[in-house]
Amino acid sequence: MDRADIPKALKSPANWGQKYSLWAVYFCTGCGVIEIPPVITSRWDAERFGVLPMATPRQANLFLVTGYVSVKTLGAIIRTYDQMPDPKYVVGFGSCPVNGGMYWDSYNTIKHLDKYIPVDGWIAGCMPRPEAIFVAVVHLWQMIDKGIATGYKRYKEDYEYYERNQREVLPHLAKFESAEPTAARDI
Amino acid sequence: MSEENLKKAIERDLEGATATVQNKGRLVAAVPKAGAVSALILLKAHGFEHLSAISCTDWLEQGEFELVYHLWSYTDKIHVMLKTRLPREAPRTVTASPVFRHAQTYEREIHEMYGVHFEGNPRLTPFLLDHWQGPPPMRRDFDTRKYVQDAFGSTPSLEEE
Amino acid sequence: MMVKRIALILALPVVGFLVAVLFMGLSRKITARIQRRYGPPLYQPIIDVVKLLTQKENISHGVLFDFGILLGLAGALVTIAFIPAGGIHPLSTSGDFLVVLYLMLLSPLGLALAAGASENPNASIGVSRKLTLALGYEVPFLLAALAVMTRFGTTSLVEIVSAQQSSMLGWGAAALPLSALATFLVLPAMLGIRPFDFATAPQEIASGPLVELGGKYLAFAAIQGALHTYIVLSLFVDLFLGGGANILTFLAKVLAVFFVGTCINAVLPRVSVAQALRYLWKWPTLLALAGLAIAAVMRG
Repeated sequence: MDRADIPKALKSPANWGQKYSLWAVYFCTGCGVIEIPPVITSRWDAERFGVLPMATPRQANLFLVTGYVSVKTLGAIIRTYDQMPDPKYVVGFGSCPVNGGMYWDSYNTIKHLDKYIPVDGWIAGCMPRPEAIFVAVVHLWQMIDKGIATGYKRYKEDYEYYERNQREVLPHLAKFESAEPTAARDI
Repeated sequence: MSEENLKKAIERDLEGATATVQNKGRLVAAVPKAGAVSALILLKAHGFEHLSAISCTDWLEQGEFELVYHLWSYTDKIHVMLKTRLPREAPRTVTASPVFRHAQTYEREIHEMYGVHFEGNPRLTPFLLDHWQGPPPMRRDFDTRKYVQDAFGSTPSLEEE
Repeated sequence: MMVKRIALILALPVVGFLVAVLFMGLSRKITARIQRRYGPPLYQPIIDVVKLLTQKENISHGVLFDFGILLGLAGALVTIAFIPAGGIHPLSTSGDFLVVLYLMLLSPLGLALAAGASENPNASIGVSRKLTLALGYEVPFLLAALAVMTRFGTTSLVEIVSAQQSSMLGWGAAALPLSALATFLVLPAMLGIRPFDFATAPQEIASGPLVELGGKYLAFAAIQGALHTYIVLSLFVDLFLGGGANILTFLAKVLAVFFVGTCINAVLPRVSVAQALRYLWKWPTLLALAGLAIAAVMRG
């Protein structure tokens, strides 16, 4: 952080904290995760950006959906995303969350992740190189500064839209068995 | 034993079987549907103790499913592809799991993806697909693109823009 | 006077807190450099704590959960007030070593209470591992502590520190080499660093007791962990490395021990619970027992 960033940090310490300490929940969604271990180890060090892998969604505020999302995995992704505390950011990693990627005509993968959970940014590639991941992290910083990384707010406001899409693909998900929706919490 | 001897043994001991030696170490044998499990028992007795996979091919034009059992012998270093044909209308056959216990999993997958029923397989339950309601998806008359359009809503392709 | 005394009592936890925050950043930087990469900036823990405290949602699991976290943090701060740091020892009485030994257990138990209240089996597994590890290192550590108390003939930490001020040969490490070696061998277990960090293993039990902590609870737990590190290190320096004539030499010694601990943490892998107990109850316990016997003989 150079001296020019200090007034920005003082004006909004919350943004400064959220930006430079993005803890990614270490959920290896699909084959795209093969690019994550090189990113978090010594050669392309992600820790200098503040990005650490976390074992549990309660401690994380970044969700990298790496690779294709089969219908079964989507259930786990929705459960994990619901457990993360606000503010949380989702990045679609690879071309499969964008438009189905290589599996665009597969009967078992979803084609557009934004229909089911709100996505803040996309990284194209199959798989993206570690340099692309760092460019994405810097873009996410800029989005957080401008206040447009508001996926979590969209989720709370448009929850009917997301729930309708989730029910379409996963009618048997555990959270639909109880009467009230469990995703929108006020604390 | 050599490939030629094995070919002779198969054609002699199995009813309605034909075998061809494709290459060194490769044999293709075709048996009628009822003789599949006895062929497996015979081959296992001849030293083919490794069942690598069971695969299924959908011959839509001929109205048949073809099951291929891939067997390997460590002592003779021969790979045998044992083929049987099933009618496409009501595909049922006997399970191979008494001979090779892990055949249970391959048959479970073929049951899910093609709809072939294996009598005697204790575990023909849903495997890879999640609460699947449609027809068996690997059949060639299953329209993948139409299904994707209905279930997920497809994204616009490059030509449309 | 009273005001000066209160100021000193409040100053000690502040010093401990600042040193703990510095150590959190320093340990990540040193580990990164050992692993031949750049690592985060030194003030990264401040960014992490600010992020955790400014999170909009803090998921609580009930009153006991909140209370446990507060108990852990308060226990750590109170314990620091009793450990002399160089020349600062406002709460020194005779017997305060025993008080410290009891208070040291407060903060891990607070965290265990919070972990029990979060209804997650990973947390329970983590807590049981942590308590097993405590069982492992308490035996040699208490034997070594007994040896120190016997040798210096006092249960007051200030008198133990002042008895070591004569020269380097008066240090606890020179007077009780076996006990000092035994405590050094169990120091990673007391600090909860590799090779004994299986209580909060991320890969095995999803961070153990910390699994349901998010937002401000995690911030307090992280601060409590860093304070606990400071407590253990300062106790080791006071008992065996001569304390410090003033606060600067004291902090320099704490930093040196911390550096050695970080290097060990960066290089060694994790052992399992059974392996850890087998190790802790074998050589360190035997060394501590021998040190205690020698101290008793020299006294009597």
